[in-house]
Amino acid sequence: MALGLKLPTWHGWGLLLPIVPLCAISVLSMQAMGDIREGHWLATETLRQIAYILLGFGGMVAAVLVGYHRIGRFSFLLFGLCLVLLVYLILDRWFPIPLVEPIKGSRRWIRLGQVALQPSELMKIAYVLALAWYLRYRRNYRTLSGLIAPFALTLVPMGIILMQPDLGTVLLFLPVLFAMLFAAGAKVRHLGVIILAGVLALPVFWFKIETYQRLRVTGVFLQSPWIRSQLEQHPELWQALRPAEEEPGRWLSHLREWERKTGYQLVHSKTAVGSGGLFGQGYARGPFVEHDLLPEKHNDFIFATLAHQWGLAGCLVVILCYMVMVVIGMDVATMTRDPFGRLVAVGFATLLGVQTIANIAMTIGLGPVTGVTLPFLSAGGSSLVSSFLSVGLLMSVAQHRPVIIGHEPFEFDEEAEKYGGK
Amino acid sequence: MFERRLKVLLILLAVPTAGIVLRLVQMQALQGDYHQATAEKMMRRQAARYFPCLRGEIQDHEGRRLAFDAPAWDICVRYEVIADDARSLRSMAKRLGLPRDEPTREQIRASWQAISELTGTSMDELQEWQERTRRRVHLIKEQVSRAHGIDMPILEERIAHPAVRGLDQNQQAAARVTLAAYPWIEVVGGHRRQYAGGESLGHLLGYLNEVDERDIRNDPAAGNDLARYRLGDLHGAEGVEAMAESWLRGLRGRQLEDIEGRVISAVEPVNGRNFRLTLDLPLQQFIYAKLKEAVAAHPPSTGASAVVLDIPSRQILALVSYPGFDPNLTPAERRRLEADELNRPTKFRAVAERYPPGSIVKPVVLAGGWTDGKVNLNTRVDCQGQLNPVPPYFKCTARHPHIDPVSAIQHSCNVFFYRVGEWMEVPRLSYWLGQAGLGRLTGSGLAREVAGTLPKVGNRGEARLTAIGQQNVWATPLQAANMIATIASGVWRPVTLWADDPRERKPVPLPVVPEALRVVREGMYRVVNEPGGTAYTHIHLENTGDLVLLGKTGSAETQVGAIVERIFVCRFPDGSEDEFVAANEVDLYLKYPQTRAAKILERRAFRYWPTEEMDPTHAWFAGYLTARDRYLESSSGGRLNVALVVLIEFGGRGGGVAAPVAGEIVQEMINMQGGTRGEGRGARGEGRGTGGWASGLLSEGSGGRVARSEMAGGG
Repeated sequence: MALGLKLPTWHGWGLLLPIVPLCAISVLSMQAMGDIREGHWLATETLRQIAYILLGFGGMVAAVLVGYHRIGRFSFLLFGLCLVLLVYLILDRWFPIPLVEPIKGSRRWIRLGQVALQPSELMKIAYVLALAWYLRYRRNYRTLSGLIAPFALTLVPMGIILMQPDLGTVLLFLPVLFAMLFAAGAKVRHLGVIILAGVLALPVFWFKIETYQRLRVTGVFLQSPWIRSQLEQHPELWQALRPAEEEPGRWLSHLREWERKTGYQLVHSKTAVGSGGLFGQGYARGPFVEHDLLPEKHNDFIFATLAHQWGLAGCLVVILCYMVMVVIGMDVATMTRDPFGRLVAVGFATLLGVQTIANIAMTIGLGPVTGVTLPFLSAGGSSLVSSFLSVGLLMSVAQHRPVIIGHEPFEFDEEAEKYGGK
Repeated sequence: MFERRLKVLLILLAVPTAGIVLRLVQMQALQGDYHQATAEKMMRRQAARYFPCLRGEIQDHEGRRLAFDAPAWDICVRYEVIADDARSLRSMAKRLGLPRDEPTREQIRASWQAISELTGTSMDELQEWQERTRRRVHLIKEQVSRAHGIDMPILEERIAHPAVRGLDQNQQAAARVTLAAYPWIEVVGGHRRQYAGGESLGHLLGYLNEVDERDIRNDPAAGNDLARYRLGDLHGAEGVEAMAESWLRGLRGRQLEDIEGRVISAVEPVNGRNFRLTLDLPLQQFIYAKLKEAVAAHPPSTGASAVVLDIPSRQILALVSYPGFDPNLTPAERRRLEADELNRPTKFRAVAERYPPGSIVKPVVLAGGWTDGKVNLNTRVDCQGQLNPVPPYFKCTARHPHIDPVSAIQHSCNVFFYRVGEWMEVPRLSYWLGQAGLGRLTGSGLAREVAGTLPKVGNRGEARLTAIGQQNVWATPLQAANMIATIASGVWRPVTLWADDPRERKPVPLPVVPEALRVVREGMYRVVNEPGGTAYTHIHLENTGDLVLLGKTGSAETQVGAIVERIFVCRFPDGSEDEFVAANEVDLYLKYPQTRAAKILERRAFRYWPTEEMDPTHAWFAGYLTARDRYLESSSGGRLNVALVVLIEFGGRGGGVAAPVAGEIVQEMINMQGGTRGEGRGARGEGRGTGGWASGLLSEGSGGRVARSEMAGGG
């Protein structure tokens, strides 16, 4: 089969083009916020971002050229590899492991000299591929018991990543799983049962996560001064939820000083976004860019910095770019008849969408603060590369349209099934 | 179906997206102005403002101020300049309203130069301080970030840190003028610790030091924002300042504002509590002067120590170590004193140095032996001046044929006690010495205090020497004083420095038979008051009234003196090795600064002082005052019921050297008390003045400063 370069289809362009402004914005942001050493005119962060963009772009092109189907054959292998890397990270909790150093209490990166590899980002790719590969020819996921395997496939990496601890990335897996199962045709009521079980299991989950993670989740509610004053007057609520383990009596000062301590990041993020107004403070201007007022403004909270500089107009442009990519990604799924391709497309489109929504919601207080990055915009090599790879695989699905003999995949006649047909 | 489901998925994604867009419209379009105003406030907002408190005073028993906070000014530099990175400098410039390119490197260097010239601090020291502060702030930031999971900005990054402390009124005025050109430098009012009382108090009071990251980490008050240590805080590093740290420390005040600038909470600072010592300052200073004279008069002596204890309460009335130093010395000056290995002025001999006690343990040994049944009224030993005709001789001071136990104490006959030692054996000897308080801490609370040692096993020869306090028995002067107090009262108690000590300190009775103590006390009476007693000719007291002094002299032989010079073999980074002669490491680095970079391979003793030919001997006197008509009974209060120990390091024989000093001290105590009126301290800690010590000398009244005459006596 010739590896000749073909021009992308219009789907491919639709996926590729939004990346350009996003990457440009990210490079500009790094430049605005970075440390410029004497004698240079590019900040170190800018150079690093450009390097990773090039690397990611290369990966994307490779994915398109090699083709998702060839890569798909190695899905399980890649999945296993990523699992090994994740376990390697976790082992540092009990034995000192080379190349792993906890940063601020969490072990997420494997350090190779200047480069830090984040296995959970690669895991996202491998997971979608592996799940799609698993589901592509089966039917048994239409039964409740058939759903066990996909869940196991999901819960294992989730559990390991949770031990890093990295709550944010973990929370991405479940929507992707549900989207892929749903698209593949699993029965709604089965999925409903599982969701219900999950919701009921929440309390257990609640007490297993770290204190500061719990505080982040409650942060969504504690934003409102009204709620805080209610909690002050009704201490039983606080005790029941136990969002933070502290000596009794300290929770009151905790509430009162929420804005300065736990809620610091959220309050500042919202102010940064809000003070962007309609058209922003201008490139590299504004108190949140010039001063050290917003923690994590390079990666997790880059959207807030963006909103601050370019206002509502800028935000809408960025959101539009992501929307275009997600919608086209879904459309690609309908364009192809290859079951694997369909699932891959749905998976990556959902991943992109959910991640973007989670990150942006966090910066404006609509969701809990988790460590989820914004694709293409956040600093961070592994995040960039994995975003590029997902788009590359989507483009690959758009490019290749193998001829399938037979009926369309994932079409189930529910009426017929009800009356015993297949 | 597939397509339908995909549409459902898209709708599911579209809902939160719409929510996000609506929220953005709300925040940016509708609430934009509000957030803009908030942003400006955030930019301008200072961190919570803190107000310092006064550290508690350290006072003597009468309330004379020994350590107190005096107003002083500090030169503080903003952290952004210390951190020295372009980003925070730009941010600071914006905050201070400077032009965008300022401050430049030249300006910053000029400002450091200005500080250096104003205060006489070298640029190197300032540089070192900068690095230290940077390092500490990083460590704190790391801790905080770990607790929150993200990089939180911390208070220490936004405030000015004190670079040079303790400017007085004139200096601060000059500083303000000169440094006005540099808006990142502030001259801030604060306090400086001031010490009164003179050299006699250097060891006891201790000093303050800046907290380091380890102190911050191990701070028991870490959870309390008002009580915890912050960078730049000072805390007690030695002596009473350290011992009473939690008492002396107060709470800082704080004002918290919310984003709107409204005051959320305002807390007033709470000053630290005053810590009143049991010490009597005039007595302490008098004793210090006397020890100084004695050391000068008896070469090769290099130092001395004395302790005075109130027997019923075991309050420490005087705890003196000579040579001492002025507690107002800076840390650099103090470090330079450590290079003097000959006189060791920084050594707190009274509690931190162990000496062989020598014959002053004989009362305890006798009491123990009596109780064990090894000695009784009929015991007689034939002392011919030495035990053996060939070495080891086991000498005595003279010949004492057919000596009885009481006379053995009176004349301090070694041979008698060699025999007692043989009969009792080392484990039993150690037991009794331990019961009297040797071998364990006295409970003073001072961190520097050492417990000394007692032997566990020994052969016959070692038992003999242990019985006379020479073999493997090491004690501090404070332990010796408590030992005598135990003999005097029949009860061991822990000592205390704190006049208002609320703790219950349980007495432990000495498990001897009463008769044993009477015999011992008779012996000690004769030591001082009857011819033939080893202190008789050396102590003459007047106006004793109804009091009498009982005591025991001691001459503790050491084979060699202390090491006063060493040879250091150093290897330099380039591989070469060389030898240097210096007293200790501190002296080495001062004399030969190049050795700081070298690794010390070996240190050898080079010179001792005193040398062996000088027959180095420590001179001891240990005794107590009690009622003359009841001196055989256990004393428990009454006028001037005190125990006293004097040690002249390498001074020679106890009788001739230490006893006269003790006599002078006792005479002074009697004179100070002025006649027969007034009670002793008893077991309570009293307030000012009446009936206590030295009531006649209370010149300046409550809380007053130390009177000039007393200061002069301090030497």
